[in-house]
Amino acid sequence: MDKFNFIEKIDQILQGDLDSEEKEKLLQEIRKDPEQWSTLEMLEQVEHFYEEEEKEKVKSQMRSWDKENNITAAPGTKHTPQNPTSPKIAQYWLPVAASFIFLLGMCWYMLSPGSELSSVTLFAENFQPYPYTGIDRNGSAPVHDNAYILYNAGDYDTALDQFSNMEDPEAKFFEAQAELATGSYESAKINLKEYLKFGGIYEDQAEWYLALACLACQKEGEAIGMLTQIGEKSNAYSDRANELLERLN
Amino acid sequence: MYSKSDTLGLLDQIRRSDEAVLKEIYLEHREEFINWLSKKFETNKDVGLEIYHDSFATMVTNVKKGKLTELSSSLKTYLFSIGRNKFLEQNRKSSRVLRIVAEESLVANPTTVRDDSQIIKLRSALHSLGDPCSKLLKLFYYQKASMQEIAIQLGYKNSQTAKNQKYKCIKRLKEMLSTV
Repeated sequence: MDKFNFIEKIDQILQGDLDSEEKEKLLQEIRKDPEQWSTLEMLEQVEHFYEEEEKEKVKSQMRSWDKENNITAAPGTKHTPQNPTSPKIAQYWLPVAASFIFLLGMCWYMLSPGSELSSVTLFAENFQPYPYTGIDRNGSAPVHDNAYILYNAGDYDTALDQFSNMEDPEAKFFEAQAELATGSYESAKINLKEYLKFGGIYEDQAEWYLALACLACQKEGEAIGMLTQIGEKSNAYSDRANELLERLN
Repeated sequence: MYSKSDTLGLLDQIRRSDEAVLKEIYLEHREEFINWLSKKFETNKDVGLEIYHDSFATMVTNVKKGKLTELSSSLKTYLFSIGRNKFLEQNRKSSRVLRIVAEESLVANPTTVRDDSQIIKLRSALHSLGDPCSKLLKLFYYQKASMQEIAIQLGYKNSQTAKNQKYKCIKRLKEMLSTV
């Protein structure tokens, strides 16, 4: 495929000209070539740049209309201290919030080949590696396996090497976590399914992360099935599953 | 209030950035939106205004990039539904920020720093790209205009010439990124 042609292919993805099967096939092809992949990422960012630029322009217009009409947000507002978006808290957390939103943006930029609210974006917004608490399956003795220490320190690549040599089903769960953190979504799905076959203390968590892994792999149908099951249960992930379902719908 | 039959014409006026129309829609729904949001979610009106601005800007960009070409309900319903989603999304993100900070797992991520510089480079390159490339890329990638439309708007001989020019612009942008 020459350069002119591959840009045309990328354009088909960005312009939304393809159905999901064609898009996935083409994405797989593009993923194999780093130059094509970086061009796709760059052009996605171009689209995002112009959209943000336009939004800023419209917002500036709105502020000038408010000024022209001498109107401001009405005083005597209801202040809700619990509300995390209230100005006082927002001011305090602003730098942190900006970093976090930026991180999400990066995830979008690096991972999302399709629409702005793609399943990959939802994955990026919801995924956080599950912390290893150093407790064994009986809930008592501390475990000092190096893999877990590396995992908790965020060195997922090295931890992965060690997890792959461990037979313990729990290691499968954390191996999947490290894979999700490093972008190996398909492998993460396999490990989570394997963990669920045997069962263990992380069953609820494994179901939730499997649903997220499906989103990361852009298998929305599979993800919706998993999320529906989780939403019907009554565990720590049910509400989040229902929220995600609402957004997917 | 606009009827459904007016909506298509209205969307076209938004697409063309008709300032009088944008201002009319903006002012028409402003107070009602802020009051509705503050009542529904028990939030203060400053937050309501911020979300109204964000929702209105999203509505305009959705029309301009061809994501919104027709409406099954009124423009007001569409605008309010964007507002509702934005409020919920903002709250979800804020809650997650607090949780992440508590777990001390966010800061000092080397990947973030590296990508930050990539984005800054790209933004800087796009700012200095200049016309016609800037206009062309914006028309194609943001406004989703066809090559034929671009050729007419930017005065190229035909769609193939516009396409060749687009290829040159992408090449130039990549070169700028590799040298910045």
